[in-house]
Formats: sequence, C-alpha cells, structure tokens
Amino acid sequence: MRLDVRNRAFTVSMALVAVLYPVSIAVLIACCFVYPRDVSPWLLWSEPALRHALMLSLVTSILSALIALFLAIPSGYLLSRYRVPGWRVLDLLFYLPIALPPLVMGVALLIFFQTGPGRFIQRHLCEFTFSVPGIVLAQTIMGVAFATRICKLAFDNVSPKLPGVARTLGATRWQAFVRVELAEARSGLVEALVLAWTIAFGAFGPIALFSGITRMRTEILSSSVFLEFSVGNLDRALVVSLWMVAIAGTALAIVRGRGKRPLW
Amino acid sequence: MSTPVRIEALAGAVGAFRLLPVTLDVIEGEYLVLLGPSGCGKTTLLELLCGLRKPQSGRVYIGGRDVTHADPAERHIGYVPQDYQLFGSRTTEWNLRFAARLRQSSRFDASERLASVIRMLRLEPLLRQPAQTLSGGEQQRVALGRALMANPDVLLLDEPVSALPESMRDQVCLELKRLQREFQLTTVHVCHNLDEALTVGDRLALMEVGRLVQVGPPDEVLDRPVNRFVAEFTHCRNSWPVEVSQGMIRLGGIGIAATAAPAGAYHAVIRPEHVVTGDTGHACRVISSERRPYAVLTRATLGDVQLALVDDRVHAPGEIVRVVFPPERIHLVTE
Repeated sequence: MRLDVRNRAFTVSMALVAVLYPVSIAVLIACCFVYPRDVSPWLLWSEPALRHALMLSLVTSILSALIALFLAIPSGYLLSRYRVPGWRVLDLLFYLPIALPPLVMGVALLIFFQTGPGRFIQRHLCEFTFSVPGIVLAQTIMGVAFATRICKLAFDNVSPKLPGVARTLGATRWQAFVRVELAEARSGLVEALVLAWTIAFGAFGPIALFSGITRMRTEILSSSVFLEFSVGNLDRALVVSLWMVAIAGTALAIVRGRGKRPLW
Repeated sequence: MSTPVRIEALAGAVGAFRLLPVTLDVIEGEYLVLLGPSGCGKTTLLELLCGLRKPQSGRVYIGGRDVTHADPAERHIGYVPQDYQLFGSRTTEWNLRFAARLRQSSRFDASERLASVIRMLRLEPLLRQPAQTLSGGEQQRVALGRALMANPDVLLLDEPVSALPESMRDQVCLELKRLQREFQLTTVHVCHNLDEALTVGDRLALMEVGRLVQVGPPDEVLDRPVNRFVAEFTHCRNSWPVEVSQGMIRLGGIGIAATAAPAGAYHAVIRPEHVVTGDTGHACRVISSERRPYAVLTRATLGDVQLALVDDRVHAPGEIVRVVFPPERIHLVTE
C-alpha cells in the first residue's frame, strides 16, 4: 500500500511539472484570444497589405520547407549512416544555425551577398537581398538545420541493414533507399517537413534584416506583427498573431493528427 | 552434380577482423551449415557471398556465374538476416511482394509463387498485418517467405532461429529442413549451435576464428575432428595429449593400439558416447554424474587423466565404473 502511494506521488509530481509548459502556452494563447480589441478579426482578408503578407508567408514558408526537406534528407542520412573524417565538424555546422541567434544568420547572409561570390550570384543567378527569394533563402537556412536533426533521428531508427536486404531481393541502391529507407523513415520525414515549415512560417529576425520589411513586397505575417506593434496598433498586431496561431495550429493538427498512416 | 555456390580462396576484412581465404563448394540441393563460435567470421563469409561486403581476394560463383564483384541484386540469392530485417511498417504481403515487384516477374510467375509461399509457410492470416507487429516466429516465416519470393539459386540464412525462444528452435529447424526439401533449395545456414546444425545440416563447415577448418557430413565432423578446436566445439569432452610410440599410445596408465599414426606427439580424442562401459574394462573412479536431456554424463578419473562418458544411470561420486576405449573410436589430432 505504501509502495502504491509512493508510486502515485511520483507520477503526480512528474505530471505536475510536465503539464506546466503546455498549460502556460495554452493560457498565453487564450489571453490573446480573449483580449478586448476594436478591429475586425477578418482584417487579414480585408486589408490588401495584410492579405499580401499572408499569401507571401504561406507561399514562401511552404516552398522553403520543401527545399529544406530536400536538403535535409541527404544531410540527415549522411550524419546517421556514415562516420567520415571531419564528421564532428560537419555535425557542428549543421547544429550551428540552431545555436546561433537568428539575427546573426541574417547578418551573415547580408555580409555574404556583399562579397565577390555573393555579388556574382546576385548578378547572374538571382537577386536575394531585400527580395522575396531572400525570404525563402533565410527561411530555408533556418529550416534545414532543424529538419536535418529530425531526418537524422528518423534514419537512426531505420536499421542500416535494410538496404542490404532489399538489394539481395533485387533492388538497386537507389531503389533500396527510396522504397525501403525513405519509406520506413517517412513519419520522421513528415515531422521534419512540419518543423521546417513552422520555423519558416514564424521566422522574423533574419528575414527582417536580410529581406527587409516592405509593404506589399517583402512583408510576411511575422513582419506585420512587428510593423503593427511598432506603430502602436496593438489590436491589429494581435489579430495577425492570432491568425498565425490558428494557421500553424491547424496545419500541425492536420499533419500530426494523421498518425502513422503511410504517405506512399 | 552441379555446384550452385563455389567459393575460391575468398578473403575479407571487417575492421581489424580478417577472414583468411576460404574455399568451399555447396552442392545442388544441399543444406550446408556454416558452424562456429560468435566472432569467427561466419556472418562475414555470408555477407561476402551476398555481395554486402567487398572481398579482399578470391572469387565467388553462384549458379555457375562469377559474381565476385556483382551487385547483390544480380546474384539471385535469398538472404534471411539474423534479426530478419523485415520492412517493419509494411504489411506481410508488401514484404512478400517486394522482390516480385522489383523483378517484374521476368524470372518466374509471381502470383503462383506467392500463393505457394503463403501456403507452405502458412502466412495467410498474417498478410494484412504490419511486419513490426508480428511475433519472432511469424517474422522468421515472413523473412523466409520474402527470400523465397526472389526465386533464389541459393538460400542464405544467417542465424535464422537464434532470435526465437529455445523451445521453438527445434520445431522451426525441422520446418526449415522440410521447406528446403520441398523447394529443393541449395541452402547455406549460419549458426553457432551444434544441435541446430545437426538438425538441419547435410554437411557442416566448421569455422575457427577467421578460418574454415573442417567441412564434412555430421558423422565425420563429430567422429573425426581435424583438430582440438573442432573436437571441443562439437562437445567431444575427451581430449588428452599423448605420444604415439611403436603403434601404441598410453592413456592413464593403459596402452591402446594406434597403429595408423606415425610416432610423435598428438592429442587423442574420443567422444563420451564412444567410451564403452560394462562389467569388464579399466576401472575409473567417478567424480560427478548428472542427468542430461537424453543420457547421463559422468566424469571420472583413469590414472592421471580425467574422462567423460555417457551412460544410462547416475553414478555416485567415488563409485568405480569399468570402461573400454575401442581403438577405432580414438582419433588422433596434431593441433
């Protein structure tokens, strides 16, 4: 009986600490929802500038999440499967964007495009600074770091012997990778995509620095919150924030709620 | 008789481990067991056969083709790894159809084979289940079925029953043997368990650390081990250093004829079950005697040597047992 009481005390104390964070987040969001405001919640659709920011946020975040996943899959696979010389340095470089303040990435991007190779890219390939492609680039750089970690974990959970077995059954190396390893790691890869998208959707610092905040041009939703807040429109900032919460929450619920059903 | 698998001086390495050149033929329809202790290189040899490792030297022929540097996909093998390695999130049926999908039925009629594999391995109730939810025995059957679906020239099994509970192994081994006969499949089975090897093997290939030491039918390996390692590994508990002189060896103070061997230093080995007990013979004093699954194992001393013998009753310590060593059962090894 005493053992039972002790076990229950353990579980309750762990649960109390564990629920502290999610409850706090729920309370914070609830406060935003119930805070009295004088503007219409449909502001995001009625105001052309905000509607543009919404569309730009959605398009750039989806695009950069896809690019991030495309880059993170081979990177995560490499980090999971091989221990090449310099592996630790490589691993560190993949970690660095997570550890650095996001603003630093924005500064680094700005500096890079002032150098020779950066200017060459801008002149001959694509204009990145203070432009929409710059938003995608900044979001992607942030997203790749996180997505790579998740992809690595996903591949860590897939036995390295599986491709060998698939090859003995007649698969080529690529078939073994796509039809077996990628397929077995698919839940993790979906997680990586979702994480990359959430990072991209909510990113602000590096984008503000690198792409600027120009209305109807490079303004995304997170920039709108900052812009509205900086000119004292707390109500409008709040509405945009709530829409961001709703969009991100819905997307997460849809993707995560599908459980482990195979995507292919 | 054709040889679906021919290994010529095949050598390989895994980290610091070196597999010394191995030469071995596997005969058509044969069930060969690659037997040895953990870490002796059995799995390495099997992986070299599969093409999952690059050999340092030597050649591999499967189905008469030189596949030494061929991709695993081109070897026409059926490989069942130690822990089965099923595609866990996929259903049993998906696992079974994997090879057929890749090979587009060019070598066989996939539907007909699938039906036959499902029937033989009794997989019908498991077809819709994700592989990761299956029990050890079910996974083993699915892994075997998946390998058979590739219509292989040779089936390569890496410790196929070691992940199963002890009580199931014998039954599963008999099942493996039945399937091998039914599909008339040349099979190489890697294991470290002598009982398992004797249950399924037409021939045993014994490996010591990094090298193949003896290949032969079970009787030959058990009765005439080539060295002390093989004798010890096959549970031959009697091995004594002896000198052959004038066609005789002296063992515990008694002389035994050993006419075939030239004079010199040897180890004499005799299996416990070949030591004859009775009312006459040399007197041995019992040290211990315990019941084993099929007989009683008794340890006794004869002069200055200790010997093991198999009997049908438990003896008390200190009891005198009379034994005879049939000279034809005593085998002399140099290593």
